[in-house]
Amino acid sequence: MEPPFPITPLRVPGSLKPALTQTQPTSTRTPFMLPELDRLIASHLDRPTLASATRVSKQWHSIFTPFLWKRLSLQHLAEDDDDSDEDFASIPTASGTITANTVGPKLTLAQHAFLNSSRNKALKGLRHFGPLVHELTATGITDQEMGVISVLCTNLRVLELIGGRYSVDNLTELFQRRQGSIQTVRFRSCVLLQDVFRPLVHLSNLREFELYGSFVGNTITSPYFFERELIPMLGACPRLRSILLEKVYIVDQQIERGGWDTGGGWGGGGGGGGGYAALSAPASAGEQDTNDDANCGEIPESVIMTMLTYTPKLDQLALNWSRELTDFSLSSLQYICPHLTQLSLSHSMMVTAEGFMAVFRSYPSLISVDIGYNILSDAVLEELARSCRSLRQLNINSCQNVSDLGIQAILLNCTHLESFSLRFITGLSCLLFNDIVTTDSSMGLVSGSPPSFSKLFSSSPPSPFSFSSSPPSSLSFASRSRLPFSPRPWACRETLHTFHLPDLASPNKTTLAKYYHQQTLLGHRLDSDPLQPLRSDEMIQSRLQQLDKVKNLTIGGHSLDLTIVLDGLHRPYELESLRITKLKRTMTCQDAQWLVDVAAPNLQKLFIPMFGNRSVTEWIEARRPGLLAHEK
Amino acid sequence: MTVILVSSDNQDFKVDKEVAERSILIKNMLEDVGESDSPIPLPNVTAAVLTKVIEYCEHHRNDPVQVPEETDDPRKRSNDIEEWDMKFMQVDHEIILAANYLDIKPLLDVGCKTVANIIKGKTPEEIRKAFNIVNDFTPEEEAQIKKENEWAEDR
Repeated sequence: MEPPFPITPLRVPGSLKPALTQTQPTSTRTPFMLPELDRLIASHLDRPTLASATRVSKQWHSIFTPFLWKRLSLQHLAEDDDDSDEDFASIPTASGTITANTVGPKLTLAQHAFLNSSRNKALKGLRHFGPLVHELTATGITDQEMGVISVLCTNLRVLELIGGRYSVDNLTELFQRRQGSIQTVRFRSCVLLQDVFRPLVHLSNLREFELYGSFVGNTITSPYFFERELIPMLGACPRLRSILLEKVYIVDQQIERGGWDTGGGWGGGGGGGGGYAALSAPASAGEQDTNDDANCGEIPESVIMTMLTYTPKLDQLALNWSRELTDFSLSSLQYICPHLTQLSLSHSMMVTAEGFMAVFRSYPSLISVDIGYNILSDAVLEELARSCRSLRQLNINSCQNVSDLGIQAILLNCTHLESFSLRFITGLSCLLFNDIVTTDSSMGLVSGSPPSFSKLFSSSPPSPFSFSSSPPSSLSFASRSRLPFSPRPWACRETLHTFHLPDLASPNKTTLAKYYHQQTLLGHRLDSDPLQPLRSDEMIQSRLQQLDKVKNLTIGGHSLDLTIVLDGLHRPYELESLRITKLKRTMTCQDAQWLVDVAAPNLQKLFIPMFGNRSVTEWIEARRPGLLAHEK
Repeated sequence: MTVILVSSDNQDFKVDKEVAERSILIKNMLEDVGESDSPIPLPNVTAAVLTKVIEYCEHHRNDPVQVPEETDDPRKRSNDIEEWDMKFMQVDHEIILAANYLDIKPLLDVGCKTVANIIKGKTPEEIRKAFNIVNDFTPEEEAQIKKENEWAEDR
């Protein structure tokens, strides 16, 4: 596309070429010369400024009015709002872009009367500008107001309703009228949304549906929920890409146990509600999580599976917090939804390591995996590394039964890994930075067989490791081979940008024993100092040095030194967020100064342990206000 | 390696390739043409503007290439402009056009933010003054629009 290059009719103050404006009439062009630039500039303006801009000239009016109305928030106004209530005459727009809308054709007489008496100017403005509204955020509006909106906002695409109670009839009316245009519906903090899914069947163009923090009556717990509500909706909205049901509360009218229990689920015990978290994509459908309460009922596995059969094209699926999901149903998942690329199965109590492995085997193209808070095994991670070659995001926070070796398998094998989070896993040590994978099942794995030394040399990047103690290159081959200083590079070293590590402890004995065993198998003679190869600082440093892109890092450990970490980073000045969970010694002001000013000047967020030296936190606050973030 | 850029008034500019490639237009051109010493004509950019654009690109040569973030949600946009950029942008409006033509996203963005900042918080009259615009509304029309959009003017 070759954009034309008109001469500017306008002049910015201080312009070097003020003469231009004299020779050019001001109204020949849009203010900023190209419509695309108008859009860019308008996107930087707040609403009051946009309102001012519409009053500058006819041309500006025609340009900025659509931006002013594009995103509208309406609030229900209390009746005592003082104001005159003259009505608008027809609009004198010069540009003609808006004139077509001056008829309010389909309003009923009652609605006209209502609108005329309304003191809500924005609402009144809809009579003329309704078609310009693309996104509407409505807070606590009444049925009458919604009726007006449904008639006047003919191009509504995004509807967000906050607070208030909405009847099925009203929603049905609105959705019927706007069935072709509405693409996104969000309910937030609404009350009494009985049968809220039913009206949605009219929205043939719906792409996103969100129900957050709302009370929905007992719709969802009804045994017929899926059959009568959700499934018809999925069928009627073929373009639905995402459903989110979160913090949805079910109030049983008889048993007012009224709990504001969170979607998180377990905590709190006897809440009256069940939180249903769901997330999904093409073709729709998401899934559930359940809560510890007999009242809200847990969505049975069979229902989940039935529902998924309606969504064969699903590519993202979240089935977190399920207490019902078993290995068996997971194993059939591949036949129901063969296209999944993003899978979230955190807190899946009933799923075993074998179940996870089967899933990974059946979905080789998974890109994003969240299996936090589960009981895994190293074999699971190895299977994941082996099967899912395009993995980009992995979250295994707080998993149990994972050791350094499993982590190694991921880091050494996943070539595309961008984000890896393994916080709160206990028992990991600096050994995870090493490159020996020795679990029993892993010998056949890519990483299991140690690379030949010749390969190692040829494939080493030009300046791979710069240990202070690194042997001069003139060292003989034999002596070099004994040093474990040429670990296989991490496959993800060029892509990893987010890396969240747990507190690193000392290597546990089992892992150490395996490590020595492996060394012996490989024919490495262990030096007199058996711990020498495990010099954690150097190991960590050399690994971090290879991470070209790392921007977000969490690291900590009782034997960890701050300088080691930051010196280790290849380009620490690219670091944007750093979370330090534990250090060998408490941070001093000097450390802080070095960190903020020298080592990582581009840091946007910094977490340091709460018990840190108070003067340090104060110093950082003063030096870079807002940099320090506090963990809850 | 350097490339030669030719402005609309036939002045030659010798520029490091790396610098010139901050312009996606030029970058694509160079990729299409391959290795070549022939100068690149930029018929839409005058020497005065090109000087400024090159200055900008020199200053920002080491910036990471910006990932275009398509959002027109004003809440997500920051209006922060680097100090250097701010001084720089005071100079000329045409730079925005050149940035658009040469496809230098960061420069375009800074330019648009600058214009937005000029408009921001001003009354219509102040805006007219700043941009040398003639008010072509009748007083009645203006009052009408003011009333219409009053809801939006609460700060």
